[in-house]
Amino acid sequence: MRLRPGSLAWLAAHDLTLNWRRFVDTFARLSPPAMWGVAMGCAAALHLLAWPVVLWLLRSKGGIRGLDAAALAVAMVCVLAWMTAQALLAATRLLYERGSLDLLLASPLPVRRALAAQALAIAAGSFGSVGILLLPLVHMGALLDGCAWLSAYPVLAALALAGTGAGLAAAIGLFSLFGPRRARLVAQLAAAFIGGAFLLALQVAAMLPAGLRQAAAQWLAGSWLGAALDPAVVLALPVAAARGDPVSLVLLVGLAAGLLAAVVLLLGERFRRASLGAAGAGADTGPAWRRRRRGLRVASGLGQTLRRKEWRLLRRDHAVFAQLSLQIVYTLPLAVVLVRGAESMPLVLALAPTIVVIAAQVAASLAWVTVSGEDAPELIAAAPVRRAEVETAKLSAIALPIAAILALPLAGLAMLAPASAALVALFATAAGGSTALLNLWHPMPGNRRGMLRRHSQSKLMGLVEHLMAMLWAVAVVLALVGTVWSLLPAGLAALLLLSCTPARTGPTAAAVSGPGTRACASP
Amino acid sequence: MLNKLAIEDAALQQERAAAAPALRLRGLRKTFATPAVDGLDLTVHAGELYALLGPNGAGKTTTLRMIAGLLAPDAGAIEVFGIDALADPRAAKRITAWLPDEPMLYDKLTPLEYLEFVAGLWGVERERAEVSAAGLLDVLELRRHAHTRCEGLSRGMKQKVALAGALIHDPRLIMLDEPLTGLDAAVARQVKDLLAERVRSGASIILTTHILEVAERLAGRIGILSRGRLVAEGTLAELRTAVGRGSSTLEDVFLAVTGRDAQLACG
Repeated sequence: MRLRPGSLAWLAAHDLTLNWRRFVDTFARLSPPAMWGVAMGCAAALHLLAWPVVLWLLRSKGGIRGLDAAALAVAMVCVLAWMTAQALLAATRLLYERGSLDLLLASPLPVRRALAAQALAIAAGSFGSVGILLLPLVHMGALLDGCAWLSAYPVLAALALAGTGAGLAAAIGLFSLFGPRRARLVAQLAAAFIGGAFLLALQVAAMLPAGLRQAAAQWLAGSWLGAALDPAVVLALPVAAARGDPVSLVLLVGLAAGLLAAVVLLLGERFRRASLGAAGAGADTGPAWRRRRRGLRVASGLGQTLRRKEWRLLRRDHAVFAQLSLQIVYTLPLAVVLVRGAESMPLVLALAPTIVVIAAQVAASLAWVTVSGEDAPELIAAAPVRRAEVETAKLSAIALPIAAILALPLAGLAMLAPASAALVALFATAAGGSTALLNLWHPMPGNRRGMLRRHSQSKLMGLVEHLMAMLWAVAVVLALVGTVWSLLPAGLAALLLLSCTPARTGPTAAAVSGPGTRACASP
Repeated sequence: MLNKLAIEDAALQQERAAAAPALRLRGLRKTFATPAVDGLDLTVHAGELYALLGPNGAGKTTTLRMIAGLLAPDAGAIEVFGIDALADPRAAKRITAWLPDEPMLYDKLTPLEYLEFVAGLWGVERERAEVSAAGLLDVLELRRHAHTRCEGLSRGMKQKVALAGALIHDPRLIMLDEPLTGLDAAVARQVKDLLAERVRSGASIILTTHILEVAERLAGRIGILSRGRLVAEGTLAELRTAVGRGSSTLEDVFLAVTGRDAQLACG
């Protein structure tokens, strides 16, 4: 069937095609048969993993209708929060990264239609990213318990539409509130917190002393807020829909589609104005006092030159800043879970692995940004500098931001237990150093904005990076407990790193690899 | 004793450099799927502006990237002012500049910060860098935009910032890949004037361009590459004579030479 050029369906199909190609590009190194083989293998593995989970649910709950309403509601709110965060990020990216949006806005198409197509593509992306994990459960449920499980498809679609509407509205609202210069940073930070905050808030609430929790619950029950947030009122419809009630399903999908349509219709013009405002956001000249004061200040030595450049770029890169926040926010629940998991566990034991994992993740991300995300690799390759000098300078440049991020939790830990804090600092340094070196030795060229998606270049490298972080985290816990067994995971992490040492004979320089580029530097 | 030897060695190198051509390529070869550069011999004299022309895919950019140390040749030799650029790339890089068609910039740095960075990379002394940067910002009319981040600059402005970066260490050999592509007439004139001024002050330039008028007006000698080989070389007058059309333009010469080569290739 040929879609009418310029129609909403035609535009949406165009955007969906682009999204699909981007997804397929993450397997770019594989031949098409190998790619399909990997995809089918992953799908089969996910379904195999889902099978025992569904069996357990069926045995303990007796079927989809027996699922706990509160659990269903919490799961849906988490999914909705995550989808809203994704949509907020995507809408902000759309506003600032121009390209296709410029083409659409320059065309004679109505702006609301163009925006609707983009919104549908964002919703489809959200549906896919959650569905890839959730739908295997649904399929196994349908196989073992009946077709009612398939209602998850329209429920997920409704959540994607509603989340996209909310995210789009939030992006336009933030742009109006903070203006083109600050909106991007605020939106990225907001997305990080919306995405992780709900889960974190639940965990933190559970950590509160029982008395305080009861008092808060009593206050909430008696207030208008409590009445408004009563799960029986607010979440009755999606819960009924998730259990397969057809009327609720139709109502839910209708409401979600209505919300998205309303956002597009009401805010379409504002979105166009925001995108025009964002066009000049790059022409930032900085404060007037800085322009008056500054002349040329050449750094003394190559190390200082490179460090100063990296710090400037990191400070000004809103995307990197926001993505680091996202990583940290998503890692924090680990500490909460650990504290909850063992009531008698000292706080130090719960915080130590979290700090080590954060150090490993942040170091890996920053190393990737400074090495693989280098904007002008050929400039450095064409300069009369040694590769080793560049690598050393880049490593030293990322040490400061990591130290700044970890300073506060380490200081807090030092007040509780100084010796333990020193041990944690040591393991955090080892973990950060390992993952940074890994990224330095095996660059994965890409745009620095795609920091969190960097493992799409090499899934194996991502796996090694996570494994290394986990090994160091286990090692620090064992070291704090005082057992020599901590040497085992630490040794394994060191061995893993050694096994990743690159061959230094080739002309390719890790330090000068950038997006789509491989260049040789002076050895 | 060692110091004395080092000084003598440096003096010897300088002497050799003074006598040597700016660039000498011998049997340069690079093959990707097919040969991109195929046994190229080429010499650029000191103080000369040499235009390297050729149809798309002729090997111009690959040649410049090998000279700049960004690609390792499969075979052949590269000498920059007598320095073996393959054996001692750092020494060669110190006196060369490379400007690709896509400016190598950092969006989040201002032009002034970019110049600071490049000066640091090439180890230019602070005072010299300040003087050089001030002069380049004025000549290229970038002073007004010195504190604007590069992401907010137009294509032409970005190209000028990249050119300023390439020239800040006062290179003796300047390699430019399509330096005027996408520039408006006024900016193109500024760039051409600056290049002419550099040649007058003793620098050597090798540039590739598809704008034949630029080669016709600026270049002392012109080389035409086809399928990785130098198929014609000389001044415009010499090329005209060689082609046998005394009154023809460079465009006629170019089409005749590359067309003849393509016919030969087809057998």
